[in-house]
Amino acid sequence: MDLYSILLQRFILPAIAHFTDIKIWHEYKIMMRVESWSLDELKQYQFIKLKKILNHAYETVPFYKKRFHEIGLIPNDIRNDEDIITIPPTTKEDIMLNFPEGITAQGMDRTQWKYVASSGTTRQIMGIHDFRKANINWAAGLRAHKLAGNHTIGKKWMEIPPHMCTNICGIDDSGNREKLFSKKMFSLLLNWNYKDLGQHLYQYFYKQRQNIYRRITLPSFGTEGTNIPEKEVSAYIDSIKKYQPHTLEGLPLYLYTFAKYLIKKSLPPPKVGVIKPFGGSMTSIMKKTIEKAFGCEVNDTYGCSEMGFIACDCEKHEGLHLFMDLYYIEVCRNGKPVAPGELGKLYITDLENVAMPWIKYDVGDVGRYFIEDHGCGRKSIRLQVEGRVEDTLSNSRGELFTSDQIFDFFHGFKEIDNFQLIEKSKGNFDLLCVPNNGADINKEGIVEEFKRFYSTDALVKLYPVKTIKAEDGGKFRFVKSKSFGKI
Amino acid sequence: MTRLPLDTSKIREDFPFLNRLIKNKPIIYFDNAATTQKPRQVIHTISNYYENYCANIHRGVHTLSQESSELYEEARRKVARFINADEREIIFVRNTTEAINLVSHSLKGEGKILTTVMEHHSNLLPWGRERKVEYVDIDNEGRIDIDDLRSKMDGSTLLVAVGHVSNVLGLINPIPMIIEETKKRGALCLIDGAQSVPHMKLDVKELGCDFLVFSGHKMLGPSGIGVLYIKEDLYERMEPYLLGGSTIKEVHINGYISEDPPLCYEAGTPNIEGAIALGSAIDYLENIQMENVLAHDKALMELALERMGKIKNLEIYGSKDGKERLSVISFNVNGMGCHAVAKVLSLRENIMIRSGFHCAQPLHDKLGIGPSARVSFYIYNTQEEIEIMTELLSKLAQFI
Repeated sequence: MDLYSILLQRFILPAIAHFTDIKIWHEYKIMMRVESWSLDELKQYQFIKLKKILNHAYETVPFYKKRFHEIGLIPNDIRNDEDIITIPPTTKEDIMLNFPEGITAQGMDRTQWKYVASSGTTRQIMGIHDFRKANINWAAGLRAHKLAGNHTIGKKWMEIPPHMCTNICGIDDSGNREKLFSKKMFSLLLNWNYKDLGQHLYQYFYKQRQNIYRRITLPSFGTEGTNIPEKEVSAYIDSIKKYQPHTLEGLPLYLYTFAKYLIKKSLPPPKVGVIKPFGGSMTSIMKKTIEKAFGCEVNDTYGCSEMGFIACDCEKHEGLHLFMDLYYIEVCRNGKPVAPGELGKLYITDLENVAMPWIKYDVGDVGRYFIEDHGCGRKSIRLQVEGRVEDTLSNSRGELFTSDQIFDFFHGFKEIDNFQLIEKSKGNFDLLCVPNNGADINKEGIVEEFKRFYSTDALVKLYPVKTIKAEDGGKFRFVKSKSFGKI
Repeated sequence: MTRLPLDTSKIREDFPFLNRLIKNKPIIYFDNAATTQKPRQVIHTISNYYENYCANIHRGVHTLSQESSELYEEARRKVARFINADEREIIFVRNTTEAINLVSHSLKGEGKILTTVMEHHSNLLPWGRERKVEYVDIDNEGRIDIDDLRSKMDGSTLLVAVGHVSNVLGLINPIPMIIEETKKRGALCLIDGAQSVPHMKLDVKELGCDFLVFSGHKMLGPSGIGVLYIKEDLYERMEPYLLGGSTIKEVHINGYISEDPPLCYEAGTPNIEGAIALGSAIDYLENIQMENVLAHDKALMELALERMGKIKNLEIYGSKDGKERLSVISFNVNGMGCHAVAKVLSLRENIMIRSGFHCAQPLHDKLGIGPSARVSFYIYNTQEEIEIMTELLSKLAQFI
């Protein structure tokens, strides 16, 4: 550990916690202790918190009050996991149609509440965090990075987010460009307005978090899509080599592209401590390729902007351990819970956000859960997230195929570098394929293989293309499905 | 509420988009500075063209080609009359951006270009490619610093390119004064009328500008059709930058004889139906009278400015004096990103507004702000719609 990290962890963060309301370090320590609890202890604690947040939501949030009345239930009726099934999921539409006053807690002090939004200019979903939730979220981030990759604050960090519109649309769209030593600060000092001065400092240092974290951000692939020119891939690799980050974070497709390039050119790997995908699902083929090319561990985390860090990897890499002290998760198909290991939609209840409770939030992801102790030392439930609900296919027999499964299927063909499968109508597909190094694509062969894998009654037209375009927010959708309603 | 100069209920009957419901609610469209909606008269003009007159222009002797050519040239005459120009002074282009690029490429002569830091990117970037460009400063509320303009204008100034109305701040720039200063120094003046021509009566002869550029899609017309007005005697100082079909009278293997302006600037098959439909949009605007359009838009802007000005935690950019502005208001809700504001307005009340830098990033930099949210009004908007928007904005801004 270098001097900066030591200073930060041993002195600066504890001092901040001591002199201000910012209790990140304190929360982090509590969270790390929770990690050693047994599953029973975790479940007990989780259920107590679940009851509490359900009661709070019922008592204070107009939307949930109405919802509970509609189903003829009050939170006190809920005694076990089975009772929770009766609560309908909260959809993104529910949130946005009632945001902010209908979906947030009434009668609370709102002065330290803060708007949060999903990333990208599309801002698909909005939320509110109170000060404590923001602290917990920050601490959960430290926890996830520590447990999955041994990243501690102060170590070098590099990220490559997917946002395509950073400059023109302005990703940091807060409008606030205030300086530390501004007229406002001196005025607050002169008037000894301690509270607002604290807020001013907090806002400034929040804006400076990039420097505090020693994190640098490289631009996204932009509008070129999956297949950018090799010289650009090479430039990314050079930047990674030069910075030598402990943690390299990026959109899975970006990391996979770098890995394929390193392997193709037989290049020595850049010095990286740990690799972390974010902003999308990492499939097993991606993971194996990245590990092989970079010669380091790939550790995954799971979360979303509106809630925060929800789960993280362990050294066994058999699913991500859920932060059970912070979230309650249900995995359901057709509204019914599925058995461990089976695929379903994820419904998440945030146990900490009292400002804006998220009860059974339909986050839009599909995955599986596992209960058995796999021997890593952490006993919490594990999650395997396999992509978006809207990217999951259902064949004529009702079998589900996640985008991760389909990604790995097509990337099993040597002649395919990248692909996109678009379901135009039920069972009728356009398959776009980027040939690997200009290889000839065996159209009939690939289509037949896919039909054997998915369904023989599928109609598939294959079109060779030069790149797969990103979506508006810069992320990629390799499968676009029309049949997700079946889940 | 004061009575608006336009009968909006009658006007709204002409706009089919207003019949669309999203989640059982009507649409409130406040993104008019980006593009306006189209009345059924314009929509009918396009479908009527396709159903009855579709043919290429200027090159055929058959009936359809001649009818189509006549409709196209009639549209040119309508545009000319609309801004009090001669039809020979009107060049159809794709949009304002193309018009400025055309002038930038086609104008002969050395000299620097003066523009301002408040301009749309399309009135900044084309100039810097081949010429020296200097930028006139603005004050904290976005007004052009006329003293700075005077100090930067000298004998080497070839052209001053300035927006009539800022697409971010809605500020109406003192164009007559700028043109007067320009003329004193013998320079040319290009007015970007993208945000003014749709809202007010403009007379190029009275103004005395050398070039005026604007887009059809911001004034009820279709996308892909725009206008470049060039004072006729300036054709001598221009040369076409696209050559090909329509731009020539004769072609031989050793040379060609150029067509007369404006046709020599309209290479290839133009957007015929777009031009004709723009003519129809102008008919519509002239029918309700531009004086009424201006008064209506100003009344809406003043109401919005007044209501939004009362919302704590909501910051409006630019001058707060309604007399200085037209129907564009950019703002931010403190603590809430502009994209988030736009998203919430859209999802809760189907209110369509814009968020970002609005293709004017240097202006945002100059004002020391990040991207902003922007509302902009037009003839079909109502006071009630503004009340709905400001009520929701008020909730968002005062909630935290």
